[in-house]
Amino acid sequence: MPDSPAELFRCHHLAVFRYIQRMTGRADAAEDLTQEVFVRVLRSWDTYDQRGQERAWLFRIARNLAIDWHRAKHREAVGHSDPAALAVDSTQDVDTAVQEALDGLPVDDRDVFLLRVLGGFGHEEIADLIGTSPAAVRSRIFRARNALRSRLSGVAWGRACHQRRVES
Amino acid sequence: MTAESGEVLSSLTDGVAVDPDRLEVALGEPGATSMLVEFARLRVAVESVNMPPGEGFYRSMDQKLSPPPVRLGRVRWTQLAAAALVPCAIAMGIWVGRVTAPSPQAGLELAAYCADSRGALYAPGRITAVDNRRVECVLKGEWQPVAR
Repeated sequence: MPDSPAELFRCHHLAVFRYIQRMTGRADAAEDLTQEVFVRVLRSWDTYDQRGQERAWLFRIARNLAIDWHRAKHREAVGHSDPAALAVDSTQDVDTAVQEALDGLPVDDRDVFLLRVLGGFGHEEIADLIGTSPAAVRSRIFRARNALRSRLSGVAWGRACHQRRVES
Repeated sequence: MTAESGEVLSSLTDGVAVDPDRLEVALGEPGATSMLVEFARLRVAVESVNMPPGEGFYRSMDQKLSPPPVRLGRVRWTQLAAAALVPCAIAMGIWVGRVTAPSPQAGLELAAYCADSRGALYAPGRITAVDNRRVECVLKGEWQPVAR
């Protein structure tokens, strides 16, 4: 259990950053919002009384900030556009293609899917975090996966995975 | 592939315990294997965000998360005040010691010659008067302060 905001930052900032980066699709916004997450943590650290739940606390703040960011940017409309129009080109970089496919998801579905994949939360934890049922979470995650799968059907996964292995 | 079977495969990808009978049905549906493989690929692709935060981000966070700097001005004045108090306290202690030291009693007998802090000699014999000069004298065999 982290005993200071600095330790909490060391342990979790990358996960929070990646979650926000995928939520917003922008590294600069991810940096700003991740900073804001930890500034809020710092402000409330002395009064926070649910020790052991810090990770959920961080992601709750991150989620609220990311959703507010989306509202401010009026990007909701993109989430409801025609999936076929968002199908990716096979020559596109996989990371860009994945981000564009994520951007095309409704924010709620994207959020739940990323909380699972990047936040590492279980279905029940996510349900608790966003105030819904585990069944609804399961359903949203599947919906997000299925939509991403169809949008990314044109991606040359094998070549992309090979490239990633060479780079690493 | 039904939505129910898709959810089962999705949950399996998440490492959630699924009903074995429903899993069997799901895996028996056409396209189940490719769906599982694509879910796994998708997960790897989403996790691999290549760009970490920049140096500016870490610099800024270091400033925000480090404890507030100690106010040197205030510490210096406090230290100076404390340092000034030390000799005052010592001087006060000496003065109090002198004030409360036992006064010589007329009628006591000095056993040997004594010198006070100004060098004045006191001859052995009976003390007949008290002055303000400190002196240590042999009084009946023991050194004791007998005069101020």
